[in-house]
Formats: sequence, structure tokens, C-alpha cells
Amino acid sequence: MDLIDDFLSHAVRLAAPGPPSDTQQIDFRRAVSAAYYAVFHLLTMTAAESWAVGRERHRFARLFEHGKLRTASLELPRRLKERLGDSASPDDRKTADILAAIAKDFVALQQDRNSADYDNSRVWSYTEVENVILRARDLYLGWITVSKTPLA
Amino acid sequence: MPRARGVAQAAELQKKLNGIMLQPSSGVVKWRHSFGNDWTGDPAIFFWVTLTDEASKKDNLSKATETFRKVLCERIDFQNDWDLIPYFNFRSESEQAILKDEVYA
Repeated sequence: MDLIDDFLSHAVRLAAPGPPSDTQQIDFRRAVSAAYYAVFHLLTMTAAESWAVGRERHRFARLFEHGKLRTASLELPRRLKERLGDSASPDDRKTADILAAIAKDFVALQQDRNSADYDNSRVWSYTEVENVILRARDLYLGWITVSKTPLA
Repeated sequence: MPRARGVAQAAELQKKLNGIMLQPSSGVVKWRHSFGNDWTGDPAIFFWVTLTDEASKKDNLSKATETFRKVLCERIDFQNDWDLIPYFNFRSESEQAILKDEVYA
């Protein structure tokens, strides 16, 4: 997933540590946005991989909407619970926990991205931005752990 | 549109939040919350957490933020019990000393 790595690396390059200053706000905002787009593309590209017609996968990936992915993410923990019931294996439970954490992280990152892109009154600090990047990275690593499991 | 339970019964939720005691080792200096709407208009609770400079260091940040989120979300089901989506923001003590942001104060 070169594109995902590129987005995350870009976010890290933009978010230089240091005390808050006016000049770095635009870099911080773009870093938050890049971190979000890393996970957005991760999820849409992964979904598109299962699309049967290979040449249409990129187009398929572009059909995903931010709001609909958010709604699906908010509903995921409940849907996983319903699907697994009481007799789920420990492995499935562990996978479900990771998927639920991914869904929560996605919703949070999406809010951060909207704030970074549209709320010009907000002043970002390095720690806030670093936290966003770390959360995106954790989501990525979590997804790698579970993406090949049947439940995912 | 009915108000979120967490907003309509804010005093009850506040009582629950007040009951949450963090370990001194958590790296949290102080935490505040505010009610609002997220980018879609859904009711939300925003947490504004000031961390020690030590806890804010790159190697410690994940642990400090995850611990805080976990402590709150394991004790309070914001989404299902209070109709609120929780969002967490973390800043270091020295950053807040410069920025003096009201939401963190």
C-alpha cells in the first residue's frame, strides 16, 4: 500500500516538532488531513480489492463517501456484536475488538480532518497533530493485523 | 430533533465524569469537556486534555492518550447511553502555556 505509506510519511514531514507558531499552522492542518486520507484510502482501496473487475477498482474506490463510511463505522460495533452472538471464538472476539477500535479511530480522524480543513479558528499544537498521526498509524497497523480474517 | 440525553441530563453525566479518578501516573494534568456538534451535526462531547510534557513526548503519547480514552469509554458508554459521540484532544502543558486556549483551561 504505497499510497497509504506516502500519505502517512507526508503527514510526518509536515508535522515538525516545536512550540506552536503561526507559520506552522498550515503544515499542521495539512498533516492532519494527510493522516486522515491515509486511512480513508486504506479502507476504500481494501474494499475495492474485492471488486471482481480489476480495471474498475480505482473507480469503485472513488464511490465511497466520507459520511457513509462514518455511519458504517458508528454502527460497526453493534453489528459485530449481533453477528458474533454469545458463542464467538476468542479469535473472533479479538478481531471484533480490533475492528471496533479501527471504526472508532476512523470516526475520530474524520472529525479531526474536518476541523483541520474547515475550522480556521482552531489553533493546532504539535502534540495534537502527533496524536492524530499516531492514531492513523495505529489504525493502519490494526487493519494489517485483521484484514485477512474472515470477520473483516 | 430531540436533545441528546447527555445534553438534556448534563448534570447526571457530569456526576459520572466527576467520579472518574485518574491514576497520578496517567500523565494527565487536567481535562475539560464541552458539548457541541461534530461535522455531521451529530451531538458530541469533546474532551480537551492537557498532558504533562513527559507524557506528550512521542514515545509516551500513544500510551497516555489510549489510557485516557480507555478509562473514560470503559466507564461511560457515551454513544449508546448518552447519545453523544466522544472526541478526544490532547495537548502538552507547555503548549497550552503558550496557546492559552480556553477549551483546555
